[in-house]
Amino acid sequence: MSRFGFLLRELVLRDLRSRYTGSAFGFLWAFVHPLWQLALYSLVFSVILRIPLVGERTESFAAFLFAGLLPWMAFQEGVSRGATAILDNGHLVKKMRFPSQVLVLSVVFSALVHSSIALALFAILQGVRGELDPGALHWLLAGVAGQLGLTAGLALLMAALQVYLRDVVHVLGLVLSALFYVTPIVYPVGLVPERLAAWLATNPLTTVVALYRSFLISGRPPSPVALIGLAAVALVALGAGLLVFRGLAAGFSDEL
Amino acid sequence: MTAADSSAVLARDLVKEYHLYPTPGSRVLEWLTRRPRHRVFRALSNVTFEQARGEGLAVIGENGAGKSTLLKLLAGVTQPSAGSLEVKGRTAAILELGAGFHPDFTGRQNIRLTAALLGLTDQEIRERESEIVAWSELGEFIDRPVREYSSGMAVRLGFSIATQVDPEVLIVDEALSVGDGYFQKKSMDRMVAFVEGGGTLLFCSHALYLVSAFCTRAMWLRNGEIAALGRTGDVVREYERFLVAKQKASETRQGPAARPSPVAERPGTGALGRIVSVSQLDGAGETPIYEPWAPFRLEVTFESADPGLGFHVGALIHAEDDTVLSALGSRVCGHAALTGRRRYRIVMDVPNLPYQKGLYHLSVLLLDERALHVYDQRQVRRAFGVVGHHWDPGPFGIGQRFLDLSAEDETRGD
Repeated sequence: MSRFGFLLRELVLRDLRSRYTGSAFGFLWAFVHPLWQLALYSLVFSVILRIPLVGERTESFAAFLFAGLLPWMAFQEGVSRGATAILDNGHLVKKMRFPSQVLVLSVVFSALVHSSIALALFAILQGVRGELDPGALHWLLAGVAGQLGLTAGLALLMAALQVYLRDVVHVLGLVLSALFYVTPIVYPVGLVPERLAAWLATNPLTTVVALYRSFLISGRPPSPVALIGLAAVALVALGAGLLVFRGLAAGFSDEL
Repeated sequence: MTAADSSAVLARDLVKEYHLYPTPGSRVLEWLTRRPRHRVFRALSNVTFEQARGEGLAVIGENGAGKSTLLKLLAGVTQPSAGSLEVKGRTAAILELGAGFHPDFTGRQNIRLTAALLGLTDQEIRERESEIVAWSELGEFIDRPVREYSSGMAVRLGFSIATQVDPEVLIVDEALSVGDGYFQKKSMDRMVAFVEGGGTLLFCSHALYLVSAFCTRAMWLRNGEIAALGRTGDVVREYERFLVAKQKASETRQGPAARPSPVAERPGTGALGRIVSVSQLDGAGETPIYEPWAPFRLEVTFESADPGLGFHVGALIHAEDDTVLSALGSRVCGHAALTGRRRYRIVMDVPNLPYQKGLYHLSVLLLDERALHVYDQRQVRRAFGVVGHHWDPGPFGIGQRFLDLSAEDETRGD
């Protein structure tokens, strides 16, 4: 393993550990949280609030919602925590020399670890319920890759700008809350008027969510155009994030 | 081999400037209007020097002179605004001990994390871990969370990690000012061994006596510029002269300031070596009184916790106003360090005490084998007095004789 890879792994472990050290059940909480959330959704959306799904193969709104929330939560957590990663670790950046990208990336991967646990638990459940499409595993992996590129790119960009301008996280908060609603997470695309649906398709997260759903709830895989679009946007985001970060990193220790 | 090949650090016209913005919004305004809205603060200007491999360079100067900025540049955590800087070889910097520690993690977990940040691989950490643990002497605390450590313990672990990464260039910023006496001695020894083993040390400290021990060369920074660069002894002397002149200037303005005694700055715990008794062999009573030019012998007995330790003994004689008049020392006399026993008795002999009428204080110091670290010290206020038979305004007799000049008178009278 490269030095960078090893450092990244240690920092991901630090982040995961620091959340659970001192608690009696430790890492078990990483499993309890998603299960509890899933149980609540199932109760609310199958007993109290029965929302009909238009154009989806599953009838469980809870399953539909959870499949969409999985990539969103990893994205949202990765970007918003990543954006303050340099600022939060200012004492390290000022006193030690190391590639500081690793601080941002470790938060992104830590969020991915958490969402992967939830994903694995949910996949088992969906397998039991017979809604899982094992043949669509490659779509899920493509979705994870796209999501990772978008998350890392945006997080790096925001983290670098945040050092110079502390207003960045506030703007980011506004953008993320809007992004949540222009991504078909809480509603199926089938409910959206056609004119708006075309706009919705330009959101790369729409494609990520669709890729997750094709595996988890046997949803329809996205079109090749959408796939190419996601790949392109994810690569551009990652490239731009790395480039801007590298450009601004030299001045970090003077600003912190 | 050219000069450039044997050098570890090459700095040419280094400049470090900081842009200070009055408000966070002015940065946005500057960016939008393209009109500068910041003030430039110049921390270093035109610093040029070359540091040879295997040598120690001390950076001295007052607070805010740019010492830390220079070390940060050398450590690579900040970039120069202009000029070029080249640091050759694997570099480890101790700008702050334990900077990477996570309080909730155990010492062992923090070793992995800090070493990874310093650029070590899994394999390299595994190889060094036991030595890092052993050197830090934390015992079973190594498996306890760092938040339970005393500040001294955290510092010990931090120093142990930073020096175990086998650097070729070691940058140390004032790190030794914390920690207990025992640890200070241990880390000093380690730094001396590092330089003697061919390492390049860049060391910044206010402790001028330490600086002289580690570093053959010194740089005095004043207001971000090199005020003097050369042999440590010369630069330190020049800097001290400057400090004295500055203090005098402020004393005439504000009246005399309380001057800290040089002894008080060196604490000793007495855990490894302890002064048992100090007595004057030629005088009787609590405050013996001597005749001018009388013999003066000081007997010191001390104990060592470990026969393997080496010791030097020193004494300072102060005037009533605490000015140091004379220093006696076994190292200065050319003796090898005393070692091999648990109990020692030594006598310092001054055949003719040169002082004139007055009362004198004494401090006795028990030092390590390099006469750097103070194991123990004992201060005796009003240790002895000297009687005067004449009116003697000065503190010292200098042994004058008066010659009969009458012969000269006769030759002049023609």
